Formats: sequence, C-alpha cells, structure tokens
Amino acid sequence: MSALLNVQNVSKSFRGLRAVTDVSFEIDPGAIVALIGPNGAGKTTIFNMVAGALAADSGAILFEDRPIRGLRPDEVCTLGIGRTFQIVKPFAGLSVLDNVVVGALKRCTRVNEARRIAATILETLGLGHKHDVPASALTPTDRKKLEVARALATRPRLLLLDEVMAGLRPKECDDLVATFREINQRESITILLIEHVMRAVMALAEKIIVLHHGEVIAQGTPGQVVKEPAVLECYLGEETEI
Amino acid sequence: MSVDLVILANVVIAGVLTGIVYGLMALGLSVIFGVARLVNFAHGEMMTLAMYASVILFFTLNIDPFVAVLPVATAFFVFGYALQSFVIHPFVTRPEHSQFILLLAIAVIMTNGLLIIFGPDSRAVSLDTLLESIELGPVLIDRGKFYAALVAFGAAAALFGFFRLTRTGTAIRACADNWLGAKIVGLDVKRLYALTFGLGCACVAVAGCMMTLLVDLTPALGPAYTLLAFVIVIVGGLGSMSGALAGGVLIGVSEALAGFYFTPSAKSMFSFSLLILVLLFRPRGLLGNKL
Amino acid sequence: MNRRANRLLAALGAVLLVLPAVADNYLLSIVTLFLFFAYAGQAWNIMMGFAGQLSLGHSLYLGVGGYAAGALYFHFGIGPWAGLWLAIMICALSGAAIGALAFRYGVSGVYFTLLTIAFAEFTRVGFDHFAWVGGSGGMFLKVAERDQIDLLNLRGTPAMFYYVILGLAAAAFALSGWLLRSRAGYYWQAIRENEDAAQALGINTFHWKILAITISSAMTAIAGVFSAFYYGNLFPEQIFNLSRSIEIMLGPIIGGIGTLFGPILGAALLTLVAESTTEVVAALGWETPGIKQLIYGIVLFVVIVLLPNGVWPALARKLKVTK
Repeated sequence: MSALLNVQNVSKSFRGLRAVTDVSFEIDPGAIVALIGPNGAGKTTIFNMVAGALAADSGAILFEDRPIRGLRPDEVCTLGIGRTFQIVKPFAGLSVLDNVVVGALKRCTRVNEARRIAATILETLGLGHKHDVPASALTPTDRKKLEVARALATRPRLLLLDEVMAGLRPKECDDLVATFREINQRESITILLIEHVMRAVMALAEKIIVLHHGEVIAQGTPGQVVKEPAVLECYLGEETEI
Repeated sequence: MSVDLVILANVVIAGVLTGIVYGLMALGLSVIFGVARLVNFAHGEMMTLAMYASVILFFTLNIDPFVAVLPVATAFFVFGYALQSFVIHPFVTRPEHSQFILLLAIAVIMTNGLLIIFGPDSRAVSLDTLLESIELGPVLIDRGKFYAALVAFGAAAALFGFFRLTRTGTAIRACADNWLGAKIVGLDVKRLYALTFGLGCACVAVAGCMMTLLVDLTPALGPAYTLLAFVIVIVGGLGSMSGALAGGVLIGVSEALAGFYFTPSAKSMFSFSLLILVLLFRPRGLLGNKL
Repeated sequence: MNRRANRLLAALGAVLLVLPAVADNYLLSIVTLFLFFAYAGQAWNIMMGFAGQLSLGHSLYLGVGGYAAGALYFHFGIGPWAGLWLAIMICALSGAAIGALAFRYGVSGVYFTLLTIAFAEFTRVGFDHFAWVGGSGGMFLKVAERDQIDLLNLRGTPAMFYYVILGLAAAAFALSGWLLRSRAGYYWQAIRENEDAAQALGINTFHWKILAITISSAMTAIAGVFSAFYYGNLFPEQIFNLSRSIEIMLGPIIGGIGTLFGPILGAALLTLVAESTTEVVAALGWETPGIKQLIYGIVLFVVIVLLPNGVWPALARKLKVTK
C-alpha cells in the first residue's frame, strides 16, 4: 500500500494568524514517526486537523487513500485513527476500567466483552490493578497512560500521541517507550507522536518531521535530521530534554 | 396626522418608555451575567421584591417611588453584595448547573415568600402628580411612564459612567474579560464579583421602583421578569451594556405592538419566539461580542 | 447492585404492592403522587443525569402528551391506551426537534436551559388560545365513575390509578437501570463527563444526545397522559407551567442526578416534606398558598449548598449499599 497517512499542502490560519503553512508529509504503514518542533510550531494544530477536531483551510489529508479532511472526530475514529490530548481529558466521574470500556465499545457492542478487552489493554499499560479507581484520583502519569489505553481500545490503525512523555521520570519514559514499541510491532499500529522529550524521540522514531513556525523545515531519519543546519538553528537556545 | 398614525405613535412611545425601564432591569442582569458569569435566575424575583419594597414605602410612609429609589437601591446593593460574598461565591468553581439551581432555589423562596406575606392580590401605585399626560402635538405621553423612563435612563447612564470612567469600573471590566489575568495582576476578584452583583441588584432595584408606576404588582411577576430579562440580554447581546438597553427598548416596543394588534398574552409569545430564534441563529445577539 | 441493595429494593417493592389493601384513599393519593414524581424524575434524569443537558422545559411534554391523548378521548372517544401512542410520537418528535436545533447550533449549558423554558412557555401561551382543546378554560375528561374499574378508558378507583403508576415507575426504574449499564449508558456518561474526549473515541455525540432527549420526552409524555386521566382535566396555565418543570427536576436534583435511586429518593423526600408541611400548616391554621413551594425552595437550597451531589450518594454510603 502507499502511505497510511498522506498530508498534502495543508494550511490553517486563525483569524489571520497563519498557524500551519503548506505542510506535507507521509507516514508509511507500521512506522513510528515523530513530529517535533518548538512550542507554537503548529504540531497540535496538525494533529487536530488529522483527527477532525479542526478543519484545515486548504490541502488534502488522506488516510489509507481515503480523503478525511473535514470529517468529524468520531468519523475519523471510525476509520481507524485514535488520538490522545495534550491536556488529558479523562472521564473523571468514571472508573479507570469504565473509561477504557467507552473506547472499547467502539468496536464491540457487548458491554461484557468490552470490559474484557479493556482489562487486557489496561494490563499492557500497567494499570491492571487500578480498575475501580475513579479516574479523578489518578496520578498525572497514570492519567496519561489511561488516555493512551482509551485510544488503544478503539483499535486504531494509526495512533496520534500528543506529548505523552511530558512530566514522566526517565524510567517511566523508558517503560512507555517499550510499550509503544511492542504495540507497534505486535498489533501493527502505526504511531505518530508529538514529543519534546528527545530521549523518547530518539528511542522510538524511525522518521522525524521538524516543524517551525507552521512549516516543515526538515524530515528524514533521526541521523539525517539531527545534522540539518535549519534544525540546529531553530533549536539553538531552545530548551530540550536530552 | 391620521388617527391611526397617532394611535400607533402612542403605542410605540409607550413601548419605548417601558422598554427603557426593561432595559435597566436587563442591564443589571447583563452586568451580573457578563461579569460574574452568574446565571441569575432570581433576577426577576429581585425586581419584584424591590417593587414590593417601593409599594410598602409608598403606602406606609407616603414616600413616592422617585424618592424611594435611593434607599431601596442602597439596600439592594448591600443585599446583593452580601448574598454574593457569603452564599454564591463558593459556587463560582462549581459546574454551571449547580449555580443555576442555587439561584433557582433563591427565586422560588423569594416568589413564595412574597406570596405568603402579601397574598396574590395585585397592588398599584398611583400618584396624583402623574395623572396628567404630556402632550406632544396630537400624541399623548403618560407622565408616569415618561418620568420612570427618565430615571431609568439616568441610572443606566450613571452605570455606564462608572464602568468607563472609574478605576473600579475598569477593574471589573478587566475581570470580565480575563478572570485569571485579573487575579494575576492583583485584583481582588472576589470583592469585585460581590461589587458587581451588588451593582446589578441596585440596578434592578431602581428598575423595580420605576416599574411600580407602570404595572400592577403581584408575586407572579417574578418568574415572568426573569425570563424577560434573559430574553432582552440574549437578544441585545451578552456583554454589551448598550445592547441591554437597546434590547429592552426593542422588546418594549414589540410587546406594545403585539399587545395592541393581537391579544395581550401574545406579547410573551413574541418574546419567546425571538429568544428561540436568537439562541439558535445569532447567539451573540444584536450588539454582543462573538461568543 | 449488591445483595443488601437488592433486599432493600425487594422490601420496598413488597410494601408498595400491598399498600392499597391497607391504606385509605388519602394515603393512596399521596403515594400515587410520589410514584408520579418518581416516574417523571427518572424520565428527566435520563436526559440530565446521563447526557448532562439541563432541561427546565419538560412541562412541555407533560402538556402536549396529556392534551394529545385527552383530545382524542374528548373529541373522538378514543381510549388512552391508543391515544398514548400519539402522545408519545408527538413528544418524541418535539423533543428530537428541539434537541436537533439546539445541538446543531451549539446551544448548550444555560442557553440550552433557557431554550427549553422558552419552548414550554411559548406552548403554554399557545394552548391558552387553542380553542379546540378548550383554551385557557381547560379541557375536562368524562367524570370518573370512581367505583367501576374501566382500565381501557383509565376511569376507575384510586387503587387502579395507583397500580398503573406503580407499574410505570417500576418500568422506568428498570429501564434506567438497564440503560445505565448498557452501551448507551456508557456513551451518555462519557458525553456528560467530556464531550471532546467522547468524540475522539468515535461517539457521534449529536446522535446520542438527541436519543437521550427523545427517550426522555417520550417517557414524560406518558406521565402527561396519566396526569390528564387521573385528574380528569387539563389547563394550559397549570400543566405547561414552569412550576411543573421545576417539580419534575426537584426529585433527581435532591436525590442525586445521574444515579438510579436518586429520583426515587428525591421524590420520596419531597412528598414527605410536602405532606408534613400540609399537616403542620393545617394544624396551625396558616392556610396560605405558597407555603409548600416555599418549603420546596428551602429544601432545594439546603441540598444544593450542603449536598451538591444529592442525598442519595451520602445515604448510600451510610446504608452500605454501594459496591
């Protein structure tokens, strides 16, 4: 198949402010790709456009060769794209298990089966022992994991992760990296992640796309991108975690 | 001028004058809703309370509503300030429907309290000085309505002046625009909210005193005025003070016309249709900011 | 539900079933009123408690439902069990339409509440002028022959009405319980908790919210039909009144929004409060209109300030019936 996700010349402005300008990139099936760049570069805007939360002003977005620009978020999910939010949005009044069940119910209509699926996914993410804890009582790290578990439950073929590693300790980060690698290989889930934590980016990404002021300034393997002068210039003086 | 035109002019003018008083009432709500983000579902009930206060002062102490405005407005300012500080403020962080229900409870208590104390019979204030109409050519203007509108307009102007020209007023507007930013800059948000609520109540008190000259008073007016206030504020545009006044006049005139050409009860149907249409198709109202 | 809860529920059910055998008509009428509000509260709760939309316009469905079935009976002699379907259909459509309009145009929160009030009030004034159903003078259904039970036409003894409303309340309770645990229940709660996240998980929130309103309004229509035949009359000023909408939501709010037992507990508390007030007031000779509503207001105030999640969650912990 050609690329799983094909973003072509996508642009978005907010009241005259150009947030994303003529961005194009491809993601191959089975890959793990990182989208990096300084704050305000337009990374989450791109996520929102792919996920249907925002409508792109122009350009095309193709998922499995199907145009998805302008679809609603729930339609995008139905087609096989799952996402997390940069600021997590748990269903605070529901238990951890019930949170994931909501996700699982996308692909299976029977509640009992959804509960089993949810339990399995929670196990993979290390939240197996916290089924009945109300989501509002979770630590920030666990909330991030819950967010991922929920998205996974919808059986996505493409998973969009928005700064999941932020605030995690190095060990937690490494664990999550291992989990993502496993998901990628075992379930063949393609991953596109926005990350500031370079430790995770370097460990996971086969391809990196660098965004600055709403434009792609470099894309390629980590080895290639790290040497690009434009990239070094944009990160000079920026704080990054290595 | 033909007779029909004269009658129409009379109706429209009466509507405008009533509308200005409505506008003052709505202004109070706009300030409360727009600044403290409080859904004051007891707004009409507060106005009814003010009306009763004015009526009592008139019948027991012979103080006419124009004079009663000052003590009643002051009392309501204090009442509003206290109510916000002690009862309502904890609800600022609670979900919206909680606030709404709190004020609904207060509204129910007020309406039925008034019903128990005063009974359902209607009362009216009539001043001898207001019996003679003002003549403007062939058109007759009700003197009471005219003076009431004048006072209402004056109060609205005073409020405008406060918000534009004083430091506290500007601080309140800052609060409305950006609550968190205001806090960071060091504004005492709690005090400002209480002040705003107090001002809103004072507005409503003045409007109430003036309204006693225009309508007969029963406890049932409360809920009706609450809804009317929301209609005006939403139609005129949330966050716009001139919108509240303009909306008030618009509703006053359309009610007058609807009541004249159709039946009196049709006027509320018109107001509600307008509310529905505005909520659906232009939620920011006529003069409001984009939501 | 744990075993303790089941036992308590069974006990309550047993008491309610045999009540007509031991109670006088007055007590029966009180419990009938309690069951009515338990039923209507459950219907309202589905929309608010589950889908998170605060409607203060449910009197619209009480009235339209009641008038639909009442008019069919009054003008054409069609019995209420048939008229019921027209009532349900009209109200379900109205609810869906209001919901569709509101959600399509992004009307939510307090604006949504105001919208629901506006529709109910508009209809109230409209029916005041609706001559075919009696206008403001009201519509009167054939006087009940209190001794004969004519279930087909819903004319009969207080006991008959009691069992009808008991059946309805039990059905509503069962339906709510089933919905809560179903896929719909999960989806509605997700929408209530965080609509954005719900959408990202593939939930078409628009459709599900409409579904909630439709079910809620259809159920409330049934309550309206019952009310019309139980009281034997309908007045626009009464049935469409904002007070009815407030009464419907008092139970769930006081008992606990979104919970299964909340509406029932709330309805019970309110009936208790209302009747005690009536007794005390009569004993003291204070007969004035408004005392009951005033007490309702005070109870609501106290509950919302001290127990914002309603009485049920706290009570459930005390009785140890939560899981």
